[in-house]
Amino acid sequence: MTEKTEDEKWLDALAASADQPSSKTELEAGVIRASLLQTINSRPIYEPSESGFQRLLSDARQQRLIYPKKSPSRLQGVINAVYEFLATPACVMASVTLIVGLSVTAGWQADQLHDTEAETVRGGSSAGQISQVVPSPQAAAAAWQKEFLEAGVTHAVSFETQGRILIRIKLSAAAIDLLASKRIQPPAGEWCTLVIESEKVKP
Amino acid sequence: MTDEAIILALTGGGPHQTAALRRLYQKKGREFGRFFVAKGLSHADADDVLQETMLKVLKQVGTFRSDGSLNSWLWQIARNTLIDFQRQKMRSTEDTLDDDQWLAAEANPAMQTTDPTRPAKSVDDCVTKGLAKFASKDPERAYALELVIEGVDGKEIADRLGRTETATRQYLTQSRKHIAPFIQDCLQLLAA
Repeated sequence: MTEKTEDEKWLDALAASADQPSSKTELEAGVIRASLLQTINSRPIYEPSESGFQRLLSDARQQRLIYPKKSPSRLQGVINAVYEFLATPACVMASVTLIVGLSVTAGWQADQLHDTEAETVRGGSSAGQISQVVPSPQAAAAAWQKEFLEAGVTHAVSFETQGRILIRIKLSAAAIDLLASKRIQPPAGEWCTLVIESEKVKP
Repeated sequence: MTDEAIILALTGGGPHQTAALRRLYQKKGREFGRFFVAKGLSHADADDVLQETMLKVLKQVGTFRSDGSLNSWLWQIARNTLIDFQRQKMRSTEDTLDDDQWLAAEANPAMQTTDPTRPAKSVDDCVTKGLAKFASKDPERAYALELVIEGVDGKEIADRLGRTETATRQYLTQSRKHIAPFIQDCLQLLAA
């Protein structure tokens, strides 16, 4: 082990004052140490303040360096945000409103379609016609309507008079099958009209 | 709280982030503030530089390498922030003082750390005056010597100075030669 230089001994003596300085170096270091200690003790101590910390927090928030909660990855963040939004009462209400709205709109459009078709029937469409004479046109029309609904056949009912009811039918595959099951040959064309008349009215 | 926990909390957000920042502010704020004051800043300026240092820590925390020393990294930011502040302040002072004002400022006793015309009363008084002058010329070395006297270990001093431990040891031992011109007359009094 190499012997320490005078400068190293000086530094050691500066770090820990010798009670009895035995050399000029130790004596010199002791005087410097005492002087520096006096300077340190006379200097006001720096303490970071609470107001300083609050100012730091405020600046950090302003610069978006402080986050309200843990920041996930961008993709995870988007997914979480969507889930969180979907789970909010506002979103649930909005979804219910949207579905109801769509249902109402669809219903209104269907009614509109039915009305239009009924108008067409009243206006004398050129589509083919199927006639049926029954004791009670209303009961027969109700029965037809039920079957059309169950088979998913687009149709529109028009009560022309008390003894005569017209049902406008879209001749889809389902409609053709339904008519065939009743041994009724559908006319050509996309649409046809089922004319239900009362036996009393029919001459 | 370990270094890893502090870094994790600082990058994570939420209440843990605020708590980690408070802890860091209280722990390192005292050391940084004292360093800034030792380098010649007023307490008000030290507050500002500490504030800026902590904001930089938050901005750059994502760049901290886990294999490095958090303490060294923090001190590096503090030193750089101080240098930026001093440069900015020097520019603004140069802008506001003309030549006559510079001469007046240099002649102002309030801007001098010692009064060389006043005779020393004792060896201690002489050394104190000499060291004050030395500190104004080389504040970093004076600060480092204060840390030695306070018993701060070599690694910590090295972190604060931004040097390796070996270089710091060498820097400190060389201080004797740097101080000597400022207290030469005092030592002659001591020998007598």
